[in-house]
Amino acid sequence: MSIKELNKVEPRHRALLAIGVLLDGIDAGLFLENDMQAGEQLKEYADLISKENLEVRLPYAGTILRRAISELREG
Amino acid sequence: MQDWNPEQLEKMNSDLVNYGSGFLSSRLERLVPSLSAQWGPLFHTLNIESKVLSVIPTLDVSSANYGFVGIVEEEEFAVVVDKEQAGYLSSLLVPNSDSISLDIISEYLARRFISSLSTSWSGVDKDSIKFDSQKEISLVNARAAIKIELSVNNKNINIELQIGEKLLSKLDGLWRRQTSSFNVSQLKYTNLALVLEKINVPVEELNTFLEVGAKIPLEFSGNTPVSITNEDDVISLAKLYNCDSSFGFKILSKAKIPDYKPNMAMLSVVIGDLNLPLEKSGLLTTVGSYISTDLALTNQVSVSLEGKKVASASIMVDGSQYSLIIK
Repeated sequence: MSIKELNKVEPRHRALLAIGVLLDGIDAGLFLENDMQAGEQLKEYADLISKENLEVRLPYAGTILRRAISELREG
Repeated sequence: MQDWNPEQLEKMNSDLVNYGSGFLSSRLERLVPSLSAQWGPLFHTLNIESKVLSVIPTLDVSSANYGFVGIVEEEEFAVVVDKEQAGYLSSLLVPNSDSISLDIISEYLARRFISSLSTSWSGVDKDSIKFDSQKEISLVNARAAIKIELSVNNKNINIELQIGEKLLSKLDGLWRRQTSSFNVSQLKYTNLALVLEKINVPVEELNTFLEVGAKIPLEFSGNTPVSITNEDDVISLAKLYNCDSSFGFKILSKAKIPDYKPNMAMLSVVIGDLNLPLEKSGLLTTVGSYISTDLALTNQVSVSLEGKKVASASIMVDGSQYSLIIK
């Protein structure tokens, strides 16, 4: 699993990942891993993104969130 | 003046008897002592003031139109919240968000809440609590609820955790064991009674009070607390109920020692003796417990002095005034 594959994740889960990283940083994975269907995947991506430096992590999470929301709006 | 009809007492259904001394009287917030520590830092960082106003276990489950589904030990539960309140909470975290974003933030908060419950509560395996995004809340077979009222930046937010039969039984048993293991080891009652009222009577007028046909006004009004006594000593105050045509009661508070008055005798208006198994005796001092009895509903009582029966009597009502008529 790599950050490049993140776009394969469904947009709602990407938005949740981004919100989690923005609010909880490195703890986001702990709050997402109990997902019944995709817990393991969500935790791994949350850990990958939140491992980045703060200067990179926050704008990156913001970008992921904007893109995912945009895709959700378009349906 | 007419006979008091205790059939008109508020009804106590079997759910209250079954869960009244466990789940319904439980202090569930004590089971998750570190929950607030998992939210405090986040709210503090975002300059959000929050406070838990109440946590109330209930069997009244609200109809749900917005919420999220979790699984605990293979049984569904729901985190139900008013959509407008969820939106308000989410907008504090990420201001100026549209409805899609608010919905996703609300979902993240629900996931966070379920996750923090799983790590705060030692009563279940952490990994047995899951978030299920594919289930509709309308499919959750809720049997009870835990209503949590929060104040967030001075706005009230109500969250309802709707739980199924298995979790209800688990929480009920957990609380029942905690209270009974403490109380039973300490208390051994020898002569329990359900006492409608204790009346101070001047010693020199005692014979007049106990004459056949004597009418003694009572403070009891059909809804005022009665006493649970052991060897004539009050151990707790309770509210009377109609439990399937027998007396039942709910413990309201621990003993309130009646005022001692010199030159006065204290008469007890006794509904009947209580026969409770030892394991239930701890409930008599557990505030909020509901207890059924085998005492059939009647207006016939006995009057005792220092634990000895001195008369039989009837409870009569005239308007709102209840009286004891000595037979």
